[in-house]
Amino acid sequence: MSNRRDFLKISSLASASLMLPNFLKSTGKANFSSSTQGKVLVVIQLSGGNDGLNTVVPFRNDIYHENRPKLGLGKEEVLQMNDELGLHPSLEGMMNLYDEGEVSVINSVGYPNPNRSHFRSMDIWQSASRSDQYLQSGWIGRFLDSACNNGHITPHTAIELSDSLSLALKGKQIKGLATNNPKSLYQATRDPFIQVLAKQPQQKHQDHPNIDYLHKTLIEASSSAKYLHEKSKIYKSWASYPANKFGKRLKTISELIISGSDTRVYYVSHSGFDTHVNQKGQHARLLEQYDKGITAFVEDLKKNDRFKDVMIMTFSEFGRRVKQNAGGGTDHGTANNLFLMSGSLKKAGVYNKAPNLVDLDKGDLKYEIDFRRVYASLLDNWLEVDSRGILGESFKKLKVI
Amino acid sequence: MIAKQQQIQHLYQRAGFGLRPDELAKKKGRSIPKLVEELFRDSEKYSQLRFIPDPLKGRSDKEVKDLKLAVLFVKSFQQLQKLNLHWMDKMATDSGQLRERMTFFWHNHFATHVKISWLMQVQNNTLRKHALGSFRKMLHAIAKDPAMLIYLNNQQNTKKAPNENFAREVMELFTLGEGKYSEQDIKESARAFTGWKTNRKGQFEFKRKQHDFGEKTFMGKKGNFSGEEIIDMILDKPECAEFITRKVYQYFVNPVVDEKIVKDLSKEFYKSDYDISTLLLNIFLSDWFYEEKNRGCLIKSPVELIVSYKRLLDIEMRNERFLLQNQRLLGQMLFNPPNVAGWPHATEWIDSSSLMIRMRLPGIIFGMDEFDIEVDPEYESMGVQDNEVWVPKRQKAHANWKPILKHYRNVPTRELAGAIVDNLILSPKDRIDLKALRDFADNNDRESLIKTLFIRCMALPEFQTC
Repeated sequence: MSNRRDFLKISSLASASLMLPNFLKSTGKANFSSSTQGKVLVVIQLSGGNDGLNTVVPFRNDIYHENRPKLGLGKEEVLQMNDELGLHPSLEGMMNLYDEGEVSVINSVGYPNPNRSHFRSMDIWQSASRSDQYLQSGWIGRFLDSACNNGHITPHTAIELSDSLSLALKGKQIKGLATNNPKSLYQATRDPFIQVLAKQPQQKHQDHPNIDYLHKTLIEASSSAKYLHEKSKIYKSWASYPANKFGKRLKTISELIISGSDTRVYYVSHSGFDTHVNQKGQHARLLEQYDKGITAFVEDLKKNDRFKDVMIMTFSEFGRRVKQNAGGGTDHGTANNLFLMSGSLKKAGVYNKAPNLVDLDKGDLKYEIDFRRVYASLLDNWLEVDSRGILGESFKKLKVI
Repeated sequence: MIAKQQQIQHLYQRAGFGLRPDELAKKKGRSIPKLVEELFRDSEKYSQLRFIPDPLKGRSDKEVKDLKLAVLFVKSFQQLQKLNLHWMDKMATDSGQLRERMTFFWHNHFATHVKISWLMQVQNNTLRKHALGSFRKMLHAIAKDPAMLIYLNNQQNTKKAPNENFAREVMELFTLGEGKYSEQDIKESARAFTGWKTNRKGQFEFKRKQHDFGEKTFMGKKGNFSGEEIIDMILDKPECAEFITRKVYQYFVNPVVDEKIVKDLSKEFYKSDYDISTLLLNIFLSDWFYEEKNRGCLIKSPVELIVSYKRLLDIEMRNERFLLQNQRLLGQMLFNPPNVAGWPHATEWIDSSSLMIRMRLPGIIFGMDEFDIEVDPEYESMGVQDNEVWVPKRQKAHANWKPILKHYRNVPTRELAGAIVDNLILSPKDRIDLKALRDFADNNDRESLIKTLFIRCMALPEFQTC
């Protein structure tokens, strides 16, 4: 009960205490309280190009084993999902979620004319562009833009757990918020000098929209920091998360979700997947960190009855070559698998057939599902906005969400 | 007098990387045309980046003959970091401010990244050589630039299997812009660039055997066009002059384009056969360039911001890596553009987190605040360990305050804040609270007061404009 009262107090504080300029004023408190119950998307980016073939292993496939004499995982090692596919042995927690019908594995996700550069391919995934198109905004950023037209959008509507903001969260009109730690962001904005600057009276500068934009951004940063700081006090997780960056960031996310922050999208990266040499140990360790992190995260959410409102999407900028290289590793590839996890998946399990290892494009997998179809499904069916405006065209949705 | 002073500041912020208050005072007596002339004169002679030694030097003929491109990779990552810092220093200190500024502009326009640091240095020097000269010559040179050919997959562009990447970007991003050519034009011109390659020594080589000498149809004309002829045919189109002019206008005048001015400028640019100096002179000598709406209407890019600190105060960090970290955090690492379209522009640089970092940076540089920011190791693919990118929380910097202190020695204490703001900021100042600046400055003695006012002023949102 006391939680509820605090919560009301804070929400009224957040919308009234600061001298908000007109363009920031939310259109009503009703939206605020209803959106706290809304659905949340958590995007996990495996940076460096995760080896999908050794994550979801086609353990029965002879071509797989021929191409990977050193790295291949056998029937006895993998955690079998069905007759042909099994998860990497590090993914025990994910296997349990799979058994409970809370995981969907989508194979061969990619895009036409794949790019094998980390930066460019990540760019394509984050901006949701074609491979011959350069966009300066991200798909989540454009989600903010589109929601912005209905009012009540703040930077913390989309949060990246990082100290700098990725392209994915940059919209044309509004950008998400990057922070590793709401507390330190709050402290930074509470600096008395910055507080004075964040309260300047507003009149518009016709010829200098950049000045308006700078001040608007500062005021938004300050009010979002305050909001998140207040929120993060409501629920402190006692669950045990792995003691690494990724675990710490997931813990922050679960605390904000469970505290009822009106954030709709969280974005977090787990990096190190560029396994060109001696992949075996490194890959197992990275997947274990991933697995331990999401296991703790999902448990935490379940305990608080929120996993039904949360969708976790895990992706990587590309998969790796079918054939292992001479250094006991794998090189940059193309299409890859992608995971969706939630307490309310429409269809769980392995969504489509295992990747075709015979029909390759210069040694790489051919994509079968355009990644933007996944985005469209998330935007339309989970975040409940019109994906067409955000993605620039209409994509056929997957029947998972 | 203030108006004149602002015009001079404006000129040096756009044609260079800013001006120290004492330098500004010295220039006040001179007319704008004189100063513009001086800017060009100071850029006539120039020095190139010679930081990375020529990998072919000191090798025997046989060694050179057997050289593998891979040899050039050795130590490349570390070298590129140092080259980055080296160039930033050059931007801050070189007397040819206009040339460095333009080299930086072209560095973004012809955005390239390859992992061979030597080739990045070669390209940078090519851009510097042509920065104020003929865009025609620069385009021809860059089309044979070893780094560019690798970056845009022209290594894979052969008669048997044409690769269109290079041909596409040349037209879409470097010369004409989307919609001014057809897919057919891309296909046909890609054939003209077949066999244009970087050889094992890291030099351009025309591989006759891989080149398609056949007939091509390009922009409605038929012929056995070579790559060079294709480039000239592109340059023949006035749309190319307009595309470059528009971009120069957006970076040097205002992100919001005045169509009539751009039309007029581009006609002159085209008539001059793409003489970059003509284009810039027409801008810097115009009246409209100095209009209030064009002053302070841009946002300093991260590199421009860091260089402006260096230029104002001659800052040298105890830990230079700190500056690289901040390039990365704020989203602009020299020699590492996000893609061939280059970096974001204007307000795209600013989000809540980048603005907070920008506002804290001056305090962090001078040890008044801690650098408690985590930088994600994006570059692990290049074999860099975590500990190599780590920098200490407490930063130490050496700055040269002498000319600043001397410059303000006769300014009454009450007027200091106003004078410093006037010297550092050109955009509207109505939201700058001078009282707050004074309240948050160190009032113990005059020297501390000037220093802290300066540092506070560099933290203002308005300082991010230029």
